[in-house]
Amino acid sequence: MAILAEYHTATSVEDVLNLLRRHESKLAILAGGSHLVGALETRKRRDLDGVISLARLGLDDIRIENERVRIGAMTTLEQLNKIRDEAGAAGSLLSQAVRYEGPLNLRNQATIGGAIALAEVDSELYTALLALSARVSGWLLTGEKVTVHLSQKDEVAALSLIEAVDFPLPVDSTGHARVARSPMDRPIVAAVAVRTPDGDRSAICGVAPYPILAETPFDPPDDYLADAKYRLRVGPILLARARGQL
Amino acid sequence: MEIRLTVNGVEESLEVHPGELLRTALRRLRIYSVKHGDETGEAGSDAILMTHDPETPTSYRLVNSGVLLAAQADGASIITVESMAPEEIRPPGAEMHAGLHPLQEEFVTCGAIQCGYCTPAQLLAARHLLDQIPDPSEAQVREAIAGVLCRCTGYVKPVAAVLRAAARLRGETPEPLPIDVRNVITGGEWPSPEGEELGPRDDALDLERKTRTVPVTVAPPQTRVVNQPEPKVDAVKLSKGRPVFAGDVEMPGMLYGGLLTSPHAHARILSIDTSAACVLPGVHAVLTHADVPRVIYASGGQSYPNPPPYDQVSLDNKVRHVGDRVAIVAAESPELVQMALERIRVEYEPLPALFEPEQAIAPGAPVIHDEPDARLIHDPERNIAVELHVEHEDVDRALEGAAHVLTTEYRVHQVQQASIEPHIALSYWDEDDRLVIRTSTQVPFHVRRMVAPLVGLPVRRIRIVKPRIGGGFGGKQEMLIEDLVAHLTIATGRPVLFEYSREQEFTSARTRHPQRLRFRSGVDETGKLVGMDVHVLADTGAYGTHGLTVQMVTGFRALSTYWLPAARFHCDVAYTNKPVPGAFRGYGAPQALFGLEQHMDELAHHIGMDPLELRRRNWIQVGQDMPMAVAMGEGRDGFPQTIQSSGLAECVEAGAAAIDWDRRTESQWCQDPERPHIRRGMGLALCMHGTGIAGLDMGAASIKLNDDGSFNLLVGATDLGTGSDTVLAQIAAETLGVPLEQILVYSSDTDFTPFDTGAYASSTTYISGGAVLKAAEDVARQIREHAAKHLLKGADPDRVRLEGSAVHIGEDISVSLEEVALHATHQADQHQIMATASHMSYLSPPPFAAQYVAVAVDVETGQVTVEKMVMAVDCGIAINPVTASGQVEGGMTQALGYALCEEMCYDEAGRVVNPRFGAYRIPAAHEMPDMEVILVQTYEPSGPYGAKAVAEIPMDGLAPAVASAIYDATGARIRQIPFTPDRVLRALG
Repeated sequence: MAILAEYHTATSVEDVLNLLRRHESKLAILAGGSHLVGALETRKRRDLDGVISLARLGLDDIRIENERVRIGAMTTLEQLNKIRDEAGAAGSLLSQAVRYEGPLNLRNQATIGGAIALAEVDSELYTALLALSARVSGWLLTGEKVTVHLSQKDEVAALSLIEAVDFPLPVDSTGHARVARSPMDRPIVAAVAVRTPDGDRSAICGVAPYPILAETPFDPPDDYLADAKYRLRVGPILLARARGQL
Repeated sequence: MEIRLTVNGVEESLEVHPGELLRTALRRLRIYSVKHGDETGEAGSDAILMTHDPETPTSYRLVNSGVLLAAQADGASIITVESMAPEEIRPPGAEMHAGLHPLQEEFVTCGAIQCGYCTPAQLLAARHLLDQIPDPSEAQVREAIAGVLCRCTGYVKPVAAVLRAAARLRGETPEPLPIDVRNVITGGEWPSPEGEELGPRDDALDLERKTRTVPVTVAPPQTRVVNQPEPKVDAVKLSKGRPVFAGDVEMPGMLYGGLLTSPHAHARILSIDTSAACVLPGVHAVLTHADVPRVIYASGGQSYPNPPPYDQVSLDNKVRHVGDRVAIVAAESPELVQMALERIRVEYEPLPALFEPEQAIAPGAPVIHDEPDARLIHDPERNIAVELHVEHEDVDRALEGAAHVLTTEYRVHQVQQASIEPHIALSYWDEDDRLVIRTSTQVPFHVRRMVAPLVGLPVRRIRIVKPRIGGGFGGKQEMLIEDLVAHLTIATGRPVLFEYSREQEFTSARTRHPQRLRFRSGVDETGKLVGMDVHVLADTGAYGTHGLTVQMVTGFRALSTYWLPAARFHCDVAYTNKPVPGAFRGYGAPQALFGLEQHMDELAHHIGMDPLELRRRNWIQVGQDMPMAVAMGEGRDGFPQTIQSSGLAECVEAGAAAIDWDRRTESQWCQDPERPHIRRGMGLALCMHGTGIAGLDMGAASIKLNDDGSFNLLVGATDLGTGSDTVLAQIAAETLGVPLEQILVYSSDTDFTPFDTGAYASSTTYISGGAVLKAAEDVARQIREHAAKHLLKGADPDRVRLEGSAVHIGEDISVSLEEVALHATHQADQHQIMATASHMSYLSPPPFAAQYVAVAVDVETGQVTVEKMVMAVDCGIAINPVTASGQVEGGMTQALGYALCEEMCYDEAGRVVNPRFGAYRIPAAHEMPDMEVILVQTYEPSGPYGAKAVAEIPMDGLAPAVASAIYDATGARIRQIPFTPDRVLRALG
């Protein structure tokens, strides 16, 4: 049951930052809401006085220019399909990855900014963006605008407001492999590989608390889906399969 | 804050609070088609189409109104299913389908609507798709509706309905809906591996196998309504999203109820301080164990007297699982309820908790039920709720003489019914100071009897109303929340609406019993079973409801599918500190058959015989007795049973052809050269279930003739989405010689409909249908007699017939039912033509089935993918082939989840760690395997129009069939479900 006292519709970045500064941790940013509203309804989040909607900030544009794809933070996951053709192999990879994030009605609501902020252990979209060498731009609470690599998890987490994510083109080919309880379930472990003119890059989820680049040491969770031993065993197998598709 | 919405073209302005959901706001605007399925968006039953740019029609998006704040929708335009058939009231003379959108029409005619709770959201998802893609592929349809979970249909018919509607909207004529119905073949049976043809037995009496002659099968009935694919009688209103469910009403002064649950698996409550909750303005009641009478009861919705143990009270001073009841609140809004619940201070004394039944029954284990007033617990000191022991002949001696003996063990897990509509009830005092409870229940009459003593009211002051039910699957065969909502209305004098959250469905409702099963059996040199010994240790969680009877069914199913000269069943039903198992579709049979069918496979391999041949040599046949039936009733002695109909051999044959059974030996199919880590295999499991509970279930029906020749059919039976109202109406219509629309069904209300035990045990078609048949025959007799005497010149009533809404004598003379009705009520021998009849049966004729699957196993990750599943079912004559096949499709889909991905998981403190959809994975539309259903019709002489049951048997065979298929593919035998990747990979080594 969502118990909130305040609902703010921000009209500018400064507006958002001011609200966050004024209320500190008592306000949370509301992007699409597919995750936060559920957390409020189930009382997993009880610490909030209110939310700040980003709906009027206009952060939902997708651009391909200067051999980079730039996706606004408020772009819904379903809207990523817009670049399926334009962005070539990268577009196909993202379309495939978002399909595993959830069904259409959730993809229509969930945003790429939300997916980055959450960095869920089983997010294949996040994993794909890691493999695509994605960068995240946004603002610190101080108002300073910064751009950091998605793989810099702590730096990304320090952003008070995410503006956009971008990654370079061209992408020559991609690979993707996963294991799950059922064909469209969120994965237990999934791996993504990307080949660009600069070389190959792989990422994996389900073997650490959040998706990681393949060369990062594995720190697998031990949970109801599978134990750490299993994740350690299949992680390299899936990475090899994903790379084998390049 | 004020927001503005345009809902179905109507501009609305309303005041919302910052945390209010869009779903809540829409329902305040009387948009009842948006349904609460969960709090986190995975259910999708609250989906709507929404845009902030209504000038661009293509900008509408399918979103879930339950994970959107109302404020987020400020300025939006919203479309709900209410706009799809805008004609609010069907005009006089219009057909039932009048005004429906083609999608709605196809959902109705294809049988795509079972409980109908998710239907509005599915329709919107489909409409959104067809607006964008007029000629979608099946995969695109599945993708479009994937976010709307359906627990009833298995998605086959909704997908077919969308494709057909798309064709119609393109101006094409869609193909007829394929329903594979076959009549049993009288000659020839499944050929043995040696090529031996096994015809019918020559001898009429087989003393060794105790076979005796029974009535022969008869030809399929020549019927006009029965055995026809009639649309469901409730489908039109469900397709319109009409307010037909328990939560779809509002009452002046209505309060909301809520439950505080235990965070501890086992603890004594030392004190509860409710003061901080009580002082909140708008909170009207906070009740604890100190405030309600302590009356011991058993919560299973079962016949009187409820089977033991009696080990529950409404609110206790001890909690026995995480999610157990602690306190209840009534307040003026759901938010206030939540705030009050969070202000209740409870001091607990945590106690050691037990999570495994072996641990629970070990000497020295903490005692879970140490309360002095619990009754009929078998051995409370050892945490054994129930002990069952049944023997037929001397098993040990039989096994001593066997040529081969094999012992194997299996484990089955805990799963949840997961109806999309959670448990929900509304209670209020009526104008006569009677307590009315409008509740989503499968057992209204049991609930009335069981609530009465708990709230201190006589039965005559309680009325239970069962509206449409948004799925039950056994979970609502329980008196679960009705006592709580009643306590709150009694305490406040106000109407109270009480609904579980999705998490509470997992922690505080009911589940399926986990079991450990050990099978020991022996065969002679020819492969005939000489005896079987089944030992089960079952986990009934914190309370013993259904613990006795579910496990008794496990024993009966384990020891009846194959004919056994000697058999023994022993079961200890242990308490643990886990959420409580209860009734769940299959009711002990899925557990039994997982063990039995794997055991038969293993036994076959042990003795070097083809598994199907071993089964064929032993499966029970027409004319054979079921010795265990006498010893194993449900909570009491049973009654002798002889098989009178079986299409099992034909099911095996039809299913094998459908799945292409011989392909499993083709190396190209078994191992894909392009994917060397994939191995394919096939598996088979035979199934046998029951049809009602012999000598116990009873249903009654009333039928009365109206002025215009229509009939009111009043039944206590509860249609929980299965289509039983339709099936019962078909039986009445057939008997009375009228089309289906002339039967007006009402079910069920303890004030107005006659008694029925309720919707469980696959009983409604057989038992309640038997009552309808009797009542209809009585009414038909009265019509014939009145017409013959007064309107057909004194004709012999035995020579007149009812047909086409008229009474006929010969070919040329007839009188309409309308004339008979008006004459009987106004002109001569005035009386109301009506009848009430009851029906029970000492027989429980088994439906049979053959379940086949084809799987692909990833031997490097352990992922199992079911590629095809086929079930051929002998359900007797299918009163409605569309609803019957829908039952099989939906049941198989639940069974798929049971086998592969559904599992309640716990942490070390006994907390369910996945109490939400998604984490608890039920199959979605876009991940379903190819599915095929074949109805193999036999004629069951004891059933109405030859019918047997169909509702539960599809739940029984999939898990063992998948296990066999995995073995076939990889050589790994996995004796525990679900077949999750980690478990499978461990088995593969």
